[in-house]
Formats: sequence, C-alpha cells, structure tokens
Amino acid sequence: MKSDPAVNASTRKHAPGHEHVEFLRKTALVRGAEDAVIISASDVIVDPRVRFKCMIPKCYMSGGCAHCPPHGLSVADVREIVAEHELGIFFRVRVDSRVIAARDIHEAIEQGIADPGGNLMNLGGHYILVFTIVKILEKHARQAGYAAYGFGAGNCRDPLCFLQPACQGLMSQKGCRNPDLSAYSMESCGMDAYTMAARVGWDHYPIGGSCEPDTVPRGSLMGIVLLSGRSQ
Amino acid sequence: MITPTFKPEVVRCVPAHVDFAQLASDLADLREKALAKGAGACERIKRTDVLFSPDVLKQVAADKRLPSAHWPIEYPIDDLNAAIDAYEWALFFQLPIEPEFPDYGGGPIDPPEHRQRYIKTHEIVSFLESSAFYMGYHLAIGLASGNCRAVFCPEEKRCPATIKGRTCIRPNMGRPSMAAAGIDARAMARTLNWEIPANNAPFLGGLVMIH
Repeated sequence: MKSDPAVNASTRKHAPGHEHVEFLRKTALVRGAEDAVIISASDVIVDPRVRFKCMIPKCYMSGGCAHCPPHGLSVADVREIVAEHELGIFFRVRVDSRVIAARDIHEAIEQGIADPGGNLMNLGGHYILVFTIVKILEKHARQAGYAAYGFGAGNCRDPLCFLQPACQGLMSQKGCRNPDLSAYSMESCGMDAYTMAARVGWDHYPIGGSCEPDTVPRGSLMGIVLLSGRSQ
Repeated sequence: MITPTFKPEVVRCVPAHVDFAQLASDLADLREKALAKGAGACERIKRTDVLFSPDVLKQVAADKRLPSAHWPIEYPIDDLNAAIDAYEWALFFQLPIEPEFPDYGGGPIDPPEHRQRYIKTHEIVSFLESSAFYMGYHLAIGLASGNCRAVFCPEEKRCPATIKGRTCIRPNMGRPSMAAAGIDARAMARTLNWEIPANNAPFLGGLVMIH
C-alpha cells in the first residue's frame, strides 16, 4: 500500500506542498469521487445570491437544520474563511440521473417518506459519501499539520438524521448528533458550486423538482476542502 | 395553486461564462411566455432599473396583520439588496387588474377570485424562475406580489417558517413580494410607461432576476 506522505509533517511550515495536496486529491478519488481538482482558494466563488436560492422560494429544509439558511454562516463569514486558506480540493461524486432525477423523488424528499424504488435512500447514500470524503480529507490534512475546512452538499439533516424529529444542533444545547460527519454544504455557505464546476471543465446540469431522468444526462454532488499551511 | 405539471423545455449545462447573445435570446423568449401566461406587460430590464423606496419598506413593516417569513423579510444574516445588486438582467411584469381591486397589503385576501390573482403572479414568477434555472441561469430568483402567508396559507394561525426549527409547509411556492424587498414596482412601471393602477389598488406583478 502506498505510504501517506501527509503523515510526516515535521519538516513543513508554510503552504501545503504539491505532493501532499496531490495525495489528498487522489484520496478523494480513491474514496469515491469521480473527479477531484486542486484549485486556488481565490477561485472559490462566494455569492450572496446562492444562499437566497435556499430561501426564495423556501426549500423544504430551510430553517430546519443548523447548517442550512437562514441559519449557518453568513456570506461575510465564509469570505473570511476562504481568505484564510490557500488551496482547495474540489471534488464531485457522480449520481445517476435515474436516481437524482427519479420520477417523484422530489415529493419523497419533501415528505421524508422513502419511495418504493429506493431512490431516496440511494441518493442519501451519495450525500453521505460526499460528507465522508470531506471528513477523510480534513482528517488527513490536519494530521499533516494543515488547517482544513470542508464543505459538503445539500443538507446534513436528511442523510444523517432522517429518523430524528428535529435537528439537535439547532434545537438543543446538546449540539449536533453527528459532529464527526456533518458539515455545512457549499451552497448553504453561498459558494456557487455550479459555476465553479463549469470553470474546472465539469459538465453540471441544474436539477430540480421538475426534472426527469431523460432530461438530464447525469447528476453530481460536489464538495470542497480548503487547506492552508500552518507553522509546526 | 401553482401548476404542478411544470416541465422544463430546455435543460442546459451550466456555463463557465454566460453567452450574452444567448441570454438576450432567452430573455426575449421568456418575456413572450410571460405574456402568453397572462401578464399584461413584461419587459426585460437592467438591475439599475430596479427602484427601491424606503417608504414601501415602511408600509410593509407597519402592516402586521399576518406576519410571515416573507412579510416582512426575516433573514437576519443575509442581505437581499446585496443579492439583487449582483444581477445584471431581470424580467419585470404586470398583471392587469380592475380599477376597483382593493389593495390587501399583507392580507388577508378574502375573496377567492382576488386571492387567485395573487396566486397567478406567483405562478408566472415560478414559471420564469424555473425556466431560467433549467436554461443554465441557476441563480435566478423571483419576487411576486402580496404576502405569501395570505396567498398560500390563509388558514394557518402562524407562519410555520417563523418558528425556530420549523420549515415552510408549502416549500417552493411562496416568494417574497417586491414590496417586502423595498422595491417600488409602481415607480418602475411608470418609467416603462405602463398603465398604473389607481392609488388605492395594488400593483400586481413580479420581478425575476435572471442573471
């Protein structure tokens, strides 16, 4: 098995080195991402319009999860976080359009009722994969001495707390039930993942409740882990 | 209620950079469709043609009959004006009304036929916004007329979306009004030489920021 160059961080003090960042990029691919690229943090697009897409009209989860608008991080907070980092591992997980744009899946998502075809659970598994890759990359990066801040896709409440009556992170002092896996999504933080995907050459199609499998060639869920060096 | 059978005619890959010839063509196409769906007037406008008025915002804030997440707009850490500033092009439309049509403000809107007119503005906004989204203008956002609680949830004792931890019970339907965003639709219509409703009648219409 190939050794992890990120483990021995004793000699590094500054920006993430190419070898380490490339290791993280490849790790994303090994763990299930279809594509992963290294981008400059300055290529992360933070746009106030993106959070409003969660609120106008209201998404079924808006207000129901601590990580989703109108809660979560403000655009100003996110810009500050991005500015504190140098690079990002930006990745996407492929989702078959027969799953992500399955007929009636939108109703199943909004009503929180599993559909007979199993597409809701299948899609939830893809979201969990994105969160998992984010957490694996964060862990590797931190072990190597870097600062890392990861963002997933969608809301975390549905895939991680599907059977729970409410988001504990929002409604209780106990905090999140799944702090080791949950994360803000790119879109909940105002990151324009769609345009970012297009600018790295990925084909990304807008998928909403009116889509059907034959109207979109493919689906994607995207995540990013921001990285910066830090003194040892 | 809003037509549940909307199907996008076009689903385009999101572009790295928008082609302005394509955008102009799409705006013209969407304008025609808004007119076909019942708008009395519809024009493509620039962001700089969107007019704000603090007086409009004050009227909304003072009307506390049916408070909702969108009347007045309650998004403490987000700035809708900053978001609107980020667009360049929009579609603005007006729905014709009779001179005696009363201004319901934030509601309630009791006569079903009048409530239906407000629903119609949401329906056209929804159609334009969804169509633009699938055309690759994925940040398109629409504002309609009236308080969404009065339009879609008149039977609710409280707007569920204003309760911590609760969510909108009619997601993807209710949008804020132009008035709740502080937009002076009447002044914009005047600039376009549209027929303006009498002062005691509301301006029914919508604004869809496309790109």
